[in-house]
Amino acid sequence: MKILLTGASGFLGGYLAEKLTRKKHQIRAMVRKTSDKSILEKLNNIELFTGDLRDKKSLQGCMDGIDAVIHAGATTQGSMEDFEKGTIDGTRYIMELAKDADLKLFLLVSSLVVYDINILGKNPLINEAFPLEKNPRLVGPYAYTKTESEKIAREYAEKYSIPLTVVRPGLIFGARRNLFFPHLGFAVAGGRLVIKIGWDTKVLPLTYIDNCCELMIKLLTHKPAIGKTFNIIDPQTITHSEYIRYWRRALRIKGFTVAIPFCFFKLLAFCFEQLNKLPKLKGKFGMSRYRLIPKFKKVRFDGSLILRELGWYPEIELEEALEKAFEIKK
Amino acid sequence: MKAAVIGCGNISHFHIHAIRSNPFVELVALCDANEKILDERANQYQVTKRYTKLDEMLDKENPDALHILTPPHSHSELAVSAMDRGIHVLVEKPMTVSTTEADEMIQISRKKNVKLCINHSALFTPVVTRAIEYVNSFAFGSLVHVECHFGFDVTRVLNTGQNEQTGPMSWYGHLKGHILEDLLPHPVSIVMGFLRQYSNSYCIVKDYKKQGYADELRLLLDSQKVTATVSVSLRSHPSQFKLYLYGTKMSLIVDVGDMGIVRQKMYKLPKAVARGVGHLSESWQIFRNTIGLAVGVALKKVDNAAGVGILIDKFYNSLKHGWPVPVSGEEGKIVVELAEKIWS
Repeated sequence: MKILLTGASGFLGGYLAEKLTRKKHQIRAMVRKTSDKSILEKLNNIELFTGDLRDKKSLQGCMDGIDAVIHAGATTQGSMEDFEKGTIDGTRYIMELAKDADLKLFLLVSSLVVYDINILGKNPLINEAFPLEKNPRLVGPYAYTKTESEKIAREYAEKYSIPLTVVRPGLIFGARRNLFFPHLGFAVAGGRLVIKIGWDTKVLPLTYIDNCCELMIKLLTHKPAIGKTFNIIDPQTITHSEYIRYWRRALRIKGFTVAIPFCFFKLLAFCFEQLNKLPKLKGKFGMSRYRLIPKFKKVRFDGSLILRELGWYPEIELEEALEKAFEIKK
Repeated sequence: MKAAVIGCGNISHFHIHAIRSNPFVELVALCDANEKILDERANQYQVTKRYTKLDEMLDKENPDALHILTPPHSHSELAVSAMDRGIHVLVEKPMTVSTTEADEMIQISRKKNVKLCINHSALFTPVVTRAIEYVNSFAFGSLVHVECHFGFDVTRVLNTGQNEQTGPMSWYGHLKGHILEDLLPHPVSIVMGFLRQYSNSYCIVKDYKKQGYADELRLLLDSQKVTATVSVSLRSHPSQFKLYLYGTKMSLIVDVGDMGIVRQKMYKLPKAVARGVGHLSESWQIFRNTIGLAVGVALKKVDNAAGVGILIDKFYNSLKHGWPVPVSGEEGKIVVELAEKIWS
């Protein structure tokens, strides 16, 4: 299968490219001129396509002769305008090209941030039928642009019969990534002090990179999945506290963790909201309860649907995955 | 969505209740060859459309889904007939009585692109769901072995007031394994929820009471990383439904019948102290479970058949969203295959 992979120089894209080429797929990897291509250049069966999702003209020809698209490219840092250009406009440009291509599958890599967590009750188990965030702009640029790009992709898919499947991976972890996630809290002084948000036993929605890639690759040839949306989370779970302890032990970082109640941060966010209302400080602070809750509220995500759909179970268990991810860091 | 039920025996109470509790589903008709039972059930739940023949009900009511709650040997024919008309089916356990029939059911569901779901409700009992969450937790480690014991008081079906012609004893004769074959899906479906697949099986079946049907069954299943034993007993008392889960960091004792879980952890303490702490911890957990259960009963929040309702909700959710069914035909077939191996 000849596959166009956007975001190929990113963490997920790099692993996907490696795994896809190992499975003898032909890859057209889209990279920017400035991207780090060192991992991709070592692979066989790969064609590097220089293009920028923000620049429509640069994408011309990227879909020629392509059977499937994995759209993993998105902006992850910068201003709201950067996010809009890279993720929303980028998705629109790619979908525009996809409507004229004879694709077997368009796999859109979205995120769990699209769910409307603010409206949910206590400790919900979120599955794919849950509603999308109504005010994603208030949650932040990443949530906003991911939610909008999903909507755009669906609109195009419906209008032009593009065989779209959407995946929403959790926190993808692996050896080439910073393994202290912002969801855990704040690591101060090189991790010697960790400020954990909340006392409760929250679970991290982790997915190991190998398991995540394997599921996406299986979706490429699984026709019944077309038109569906899937969360990708490994079935085994780890709480924030357990993860922080593991992280300390694996990286040999001595220190201590202080858990601060979530209500304290909500109060703090409320104060910032009030300050933002002052004419002199209008909109100066980015912190709000609406933005805080989706990131730190105790929720669980249900990742069982994709496993039942594909009749497959991740081969790498959590303990082994953590060992592999932390091995290189050590 | 329109639902219909065929088979108005005892289990139909749970199905009708679950259908009625689902706002997206409407119970349109009931069907049973036995008019007396049919009228009794239809009057009880105020269902006006009642039929004694499946074809007539399907032709006139054209339901979206059919619940097949008849004796196991009739499941295949009824399910095939409904699926052939493009109707989704939910079949009571055991799925059927032979792998040939199970295959036929799976094939027709694929061919007609309709859902085939098997009611292995024990796997969806809230206490089992909690046990699965524990097993999937980092604190549990990797699963090493599963033990499931299912004890059944046979007088429950022998003394129900139903006679040999209408009660379950009339159709147990159609099952090679008699009552044990009917009970087997309960423990096996739970065990398979943890194993997912097995490569080898070993079994002992005994008719200790010389009644003409087996009263004890022991089964050993071997999957790639995990082993499991299943025990079904008609002689042991009190009748218990228990699950023991052994992990690399923790073990769980799950009382499926009495809805409680006890965790057994490792303590880095001198052996004698660790024993004492272990006993205290278990006693505390049993005490908490007892209080929780008592409160649940007092508040009428304890439902002995919660698993059936949850599975039926999941079945209708799968129809609504185009998702996979909670228990597929292939999963149902695993139990049929095992039963066939045991009693062939």
